[in-house]
Amino acid sequence: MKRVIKAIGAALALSLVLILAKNEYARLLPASTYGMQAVLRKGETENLFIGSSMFRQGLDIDVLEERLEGSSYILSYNGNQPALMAMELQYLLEQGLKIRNLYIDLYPYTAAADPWISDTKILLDTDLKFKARAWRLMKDSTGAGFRDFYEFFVTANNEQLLTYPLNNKIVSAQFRNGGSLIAQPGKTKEELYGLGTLGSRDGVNRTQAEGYGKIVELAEEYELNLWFLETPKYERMYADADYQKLYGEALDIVRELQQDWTGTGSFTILCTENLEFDITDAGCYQDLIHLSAEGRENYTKLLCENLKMAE
Amino acid sequence: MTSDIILTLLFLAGVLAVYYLVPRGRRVWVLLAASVIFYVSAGFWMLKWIVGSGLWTFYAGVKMEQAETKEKKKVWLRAGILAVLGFLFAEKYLGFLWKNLLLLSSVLRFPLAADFPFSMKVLAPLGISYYSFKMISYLADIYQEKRHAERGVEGCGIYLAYVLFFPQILCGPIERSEHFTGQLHEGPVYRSELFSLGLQRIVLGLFKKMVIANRLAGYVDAVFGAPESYPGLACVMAAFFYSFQLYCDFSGYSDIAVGMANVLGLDSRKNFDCPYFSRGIKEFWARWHISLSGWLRDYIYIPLGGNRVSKTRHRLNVLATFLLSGLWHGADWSFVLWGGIHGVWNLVSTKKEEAVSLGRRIWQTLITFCGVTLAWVFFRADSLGQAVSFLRHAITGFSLSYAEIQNSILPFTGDNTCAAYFLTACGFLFLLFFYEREQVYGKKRDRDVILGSGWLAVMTVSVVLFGVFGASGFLYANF
Repeated sequence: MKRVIKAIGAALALSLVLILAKNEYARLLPASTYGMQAVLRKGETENLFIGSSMFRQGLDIDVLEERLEGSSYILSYNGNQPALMAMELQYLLEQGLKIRNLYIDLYPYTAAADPWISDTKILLDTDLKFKARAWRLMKDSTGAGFRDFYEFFVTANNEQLLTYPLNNKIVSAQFRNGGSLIAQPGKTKEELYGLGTLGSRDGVNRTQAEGYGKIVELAEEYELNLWFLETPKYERMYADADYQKLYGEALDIVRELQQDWTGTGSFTILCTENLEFDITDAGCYQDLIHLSAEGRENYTKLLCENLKMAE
Repeated sequence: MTSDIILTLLFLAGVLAVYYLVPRGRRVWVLLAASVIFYVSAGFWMLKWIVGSGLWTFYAGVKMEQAETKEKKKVWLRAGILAVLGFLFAEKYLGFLWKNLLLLSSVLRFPLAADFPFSMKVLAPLGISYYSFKMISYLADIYQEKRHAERGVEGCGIYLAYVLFFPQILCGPIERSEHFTGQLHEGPVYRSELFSLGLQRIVLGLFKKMVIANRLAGYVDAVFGAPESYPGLACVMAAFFYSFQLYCDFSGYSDIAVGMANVLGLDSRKNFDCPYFSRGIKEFWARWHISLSGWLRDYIYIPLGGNRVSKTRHRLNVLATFLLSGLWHGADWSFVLWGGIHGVWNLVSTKKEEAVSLGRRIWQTLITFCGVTLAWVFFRADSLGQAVSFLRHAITGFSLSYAEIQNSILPFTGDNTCAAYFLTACGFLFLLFFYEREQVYGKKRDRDVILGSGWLAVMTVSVVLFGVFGASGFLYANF
């Protein structure tokens, strides 16, 4: 009996040490080619794009590097929300990252969601202090329980850490400076119309709206040029009343922030409707909201032209 | 509550806090009360079935023992068993029978009303297949004078505690009555070695269930749910992963259930003995779901005449036993076919020689494992048609190109973490392989050591850090 108690006790103690070490030091592992740690190790980047998979699938890193002045980096996490983007930006700036132009993903569905870490890679890239703040944000807004806490601090990313040497190589090969190198083919109109729409939401979440505000505050404080970008969705999305309503709501919030802007840099909002992008070309989309390789290249070229013109 | 292992273990902790504080002779009543609470938490409506049939079989047992002639005993045996089988049939097989009658009537052009004509719940009471078999074996043992009937209030309490025993109500093992009630009569007592054995079994069970079975569940569900959406390689992988998932889920639960019995001071038999290390199908059934195999042997196969009959009759006995085993697992033709495959395989297989080379031993083990995996496809699929189309797609859509391999790993998580999940799942399967290899081929340990200190520590850390807590139901609870 003593042997069993000792072995289980030692295992639990070891687990505790591993959990603490993981939450504080996992970010120090050899960096991958995407995520916050990779950009922090660069020290500075002229153009930083922070967003969700809209940015990962919608921005072509080759085109950005070729057509924009200075270096570019795409920081994208799955479902990255405004409240989390604000925290990520604050973390990067506090860690000493130098930025000149900041581009933020204006995707209304993430702004309508309850605050949540939608991609556990965020936890792998940050320290315990960041995680504690993120947890408080989630808990205060959604009443997350013990099971979420356990997943957040104990089990998240363990698979990636256990297989890190191999897995990091495999995944990192798919990115450069945060930009996806995977070329996804486009779809046909029939295929895109065969997909279900994303449904309605209860409007923009208050905490997410505050997240937009926090991003603006940080841009003012660090004297950045700020851009809000809406990547192209397929025409069927723009015809969807739920999407239009939510999009309008999110846009109004950002426009209000633009009016109150006191920063020394510029504040620009650039939506798909401002570009001459063909939202009816099914070949440019892999689904209703994500661009294909062809769409990504076309959009990024148009975007770069417009960014230059706006300057 | 009953399908959540963590809540079940917390419930056990609560029971233990009271259990060892009451005098030894009264612990059976704590056990009975805990079992009733546990069962009711899954649905109050189910209690009447188990208590009703429990009281009836208790009464039939008493009357059987009191009967003076063999004929009268037989009458009570039949009355008890028919009632149990009647409940089981009504709750589990009536819908299946009606479905097939409808099919037959449409073939014979003799139309029947399409609606199910009975106003009963489609959902069978929890654990009905398990407790029905417990009750039948209890009555059969009394009839064969292998044991005495329980009598009086205390006897009734002990019998109901045996039938309702909460760690084993969900998916076994199907404990034999004389072994179990004997311990309850003596009064369960705290024994350090048994308690320690129980803890080791619980850790082993948690490791199998939470670290392996739950991890594989998402992949298996995704691919079996829409096989045509995935490459043939993914179907092959899903079939093998299902083999491991089912084993780890069911044997994991059995380990936990036996471990829980142990910490309650009750000795209980193991239900699995590293079945995927079997070199033939006969050995497989001696190692897989041992309590069910034993039950079918003692109460179906042997009463049918076993092997002490003509060759043809013996073959029919084997086939009938396996077909019944299939039907016990579920009311669908795919389960019957699964039982039939195992029955025929059993008939054509020969006893494996002990003295063979290592290479041949490995080959025999691999062939057995692949055959068992193939049969599991019929067990897992929703219908016979789905099983056939799954296997067809696994063969016709099979390729080993880089893109197919990538797309076959993707269902793990659906994003770029899938490779990590796949590698981790494989890593833990290897860990289990090494542990079981040591159990089968390594030097024998003390009876009270299931996990050495190293294994115990590794498995505890794995459960804490890699346990998948989301998918907590048990596959065998559905049977």
